[in-house]
Amino acid sequence: MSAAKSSTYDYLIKLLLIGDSGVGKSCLLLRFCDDSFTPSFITTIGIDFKIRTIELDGKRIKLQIWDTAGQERFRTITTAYYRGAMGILLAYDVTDERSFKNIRNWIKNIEQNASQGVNMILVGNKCDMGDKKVISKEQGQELADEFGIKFVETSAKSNLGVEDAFFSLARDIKKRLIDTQAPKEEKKDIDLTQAGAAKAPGGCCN
Amino acid sequence: MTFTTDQVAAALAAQQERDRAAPRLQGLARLHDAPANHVATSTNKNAWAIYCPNEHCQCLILRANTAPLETVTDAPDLAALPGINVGADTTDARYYAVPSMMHFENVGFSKTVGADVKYLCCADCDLGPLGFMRTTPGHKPTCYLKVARLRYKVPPTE
Repeated sequence: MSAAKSSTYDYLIKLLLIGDSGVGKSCLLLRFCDDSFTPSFITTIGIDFKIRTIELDGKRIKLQIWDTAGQERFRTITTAYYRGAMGILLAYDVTDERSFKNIRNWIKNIEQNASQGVNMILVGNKCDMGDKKVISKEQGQELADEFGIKFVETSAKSNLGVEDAFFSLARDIKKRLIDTQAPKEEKKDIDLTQAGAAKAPGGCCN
Repeated sequence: MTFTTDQVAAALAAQQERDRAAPRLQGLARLHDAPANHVATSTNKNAWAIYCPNEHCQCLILRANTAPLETVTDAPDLAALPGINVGADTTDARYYAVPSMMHFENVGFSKTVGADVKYLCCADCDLGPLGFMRTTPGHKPTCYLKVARLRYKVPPTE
């Protein structure tokens, strides 16, 4: 780790967005800009991940947030994608019952592939205001309770709850990892030129 | 060095609130209508902080003095930015060479296109491409931000 790197950030937290296609995971990729427009080129290709920097008591925390990037079917998401992940946002669409039912499959997949103790939060998302809600808040809470994870309902369109979801997860991760470890152990470099990143979106953290 | 979870939560929330409540940043200029001294002559690095070129966005992409200026002759073609006037950007081969992705404050990476190109976009409004990186095995982890496609926080008149 070079000196330049250590002045760039103190901690790196890797987060994953997981859920069926169409549940609005990309909406959850933290769009804070109010005046939205249509950035057609990037939207067409799709966003793989984002880097965000947060400062906290003089410590710089970088969040690396991965989308499943088109590999939504849980069968195709493998250990490589989960490697190094410290937190997972599990998203379903409150207007799509199937996406809700599939959460159990996703959790199974996570338990098989992700590192033990990874922090999770269940996110009931509603991207399109016009659609009809079929999964109640109570159902979401019940499922979350069953697996002992947190739950929020969000509207990515209005940003309602989206930030809460990320902050809640970041808080838990920090509690679990950062507050109990030396800073150096959290500083994992990311090299996209390795681990076949050109093929698998999960090829990162070495 | 320890934080309680409450401290973390409070700091994150406060920072978010500050960002949201901040007035539109003043003094942000795109290259074609900004002064030419956006590169510090002593270091050949970006003299000013770099922001998203969308005037409705105030996403900080790169801190000042982070990336050296380079001329890149084998860069992939970058599609036009929708609704953003970046001047004569196609003839301008200057890029800021960001040493690695972790040097960014905020940025988005597209999926890999073709053999090995990832395009860079704004982390807040997704506007792009603002630059690119190559994922070829063995390639440097450098990310290239196109000088003409950015806004710069111009210091008050000297």
